[in-house]
Amino acid sequence: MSYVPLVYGTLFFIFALSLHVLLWRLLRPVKDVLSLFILFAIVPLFSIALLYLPHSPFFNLRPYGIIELTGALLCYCALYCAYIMTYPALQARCPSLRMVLLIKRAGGAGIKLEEVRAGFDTADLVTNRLDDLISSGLVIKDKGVAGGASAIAYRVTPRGSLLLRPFMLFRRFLGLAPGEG
Amino acid sequence: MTFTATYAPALHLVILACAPVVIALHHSALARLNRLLSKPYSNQSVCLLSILVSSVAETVLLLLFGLLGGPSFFPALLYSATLYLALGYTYFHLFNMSETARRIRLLYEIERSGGVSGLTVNSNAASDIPAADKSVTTRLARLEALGQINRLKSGAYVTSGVTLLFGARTARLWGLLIGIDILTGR
Repeated sequence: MSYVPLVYGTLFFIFALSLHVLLWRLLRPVKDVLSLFILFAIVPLFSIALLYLPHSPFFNLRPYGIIELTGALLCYCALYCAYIMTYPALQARCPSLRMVLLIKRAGGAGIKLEEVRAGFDTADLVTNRLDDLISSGLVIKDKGVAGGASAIAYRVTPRGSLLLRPFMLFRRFLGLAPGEG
Repeated sequence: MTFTATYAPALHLVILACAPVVIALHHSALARLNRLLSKPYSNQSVCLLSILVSSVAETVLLLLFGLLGGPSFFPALLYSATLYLALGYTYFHLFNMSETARRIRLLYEIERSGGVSGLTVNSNAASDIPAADKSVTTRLARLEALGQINRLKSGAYVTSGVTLLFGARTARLWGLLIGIDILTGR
């Protein structure tokens, strides 16, 4: 193996990240995770076209073997998957990360439980995420179905079930109860 | 020319691409063993241990097929390490999503409540879904179990580990670059 797959895989990834930063700074998409996936698919196709089209200025820089190109794409996929898994923590402002930052800011005296709680209300931890699920079409709400006019009933849509099932299967495979964490 | 020599580069990629499966198999065994312990480790620690154990298994496989030797030792090692770390990191976060992600948890709670009427949420309080207070204490307990924070005698929390702090600071910096401040939400 040469350095070619690693170098090209990393370059594809840097190219994708640069486009991601540029797009998000200019106009952050509403469906940002979906946009990240689309970007993930477009960048290697565009890069391969740039490298392999005969009249391209980058034609002479293309990897020669199919294994080298596959290795580069695999490297790109692994790096991009790692990034995609990190992104929701940013987008949903991961509470655990914020707690660590808040506690660090408090310094040596520390921070009391009540002060930590004050920084995280129900809207922050629950209802905003519920709104995300509704806007993504994973959950629907039926007003006034249960408990009178002030109550709202939520239901998981077939799409939501489809997303949830692999996670439940995964936890069962690991011998962990679903929803235990 | 031997089979291994002809197909060595492809075999190298296949072994590395299978890393998540290898990690999952180790994770499944170690998670079950962990439950037998009188004082089990946190689920996250078991996941990290599985990634570490699998790295040894992957290295042994690469060495067995002679894929980490000869003149291409350094590029092969660098490529394998980069790919494995990225896949291991992805696996850890995927597991963490099943463990801590609020959206997955909410989906699960709503699905579990089932039926036509579904989960009932009062207009002024999220009564059936995991309460915000519980969510805060669960996370603090998890951070404590991971050695990232400590609880002083006064009851106040202080940071003790650097791993998550480094991650949080990096995430904040990157967030600022793409226009999301995880601390203020602006």
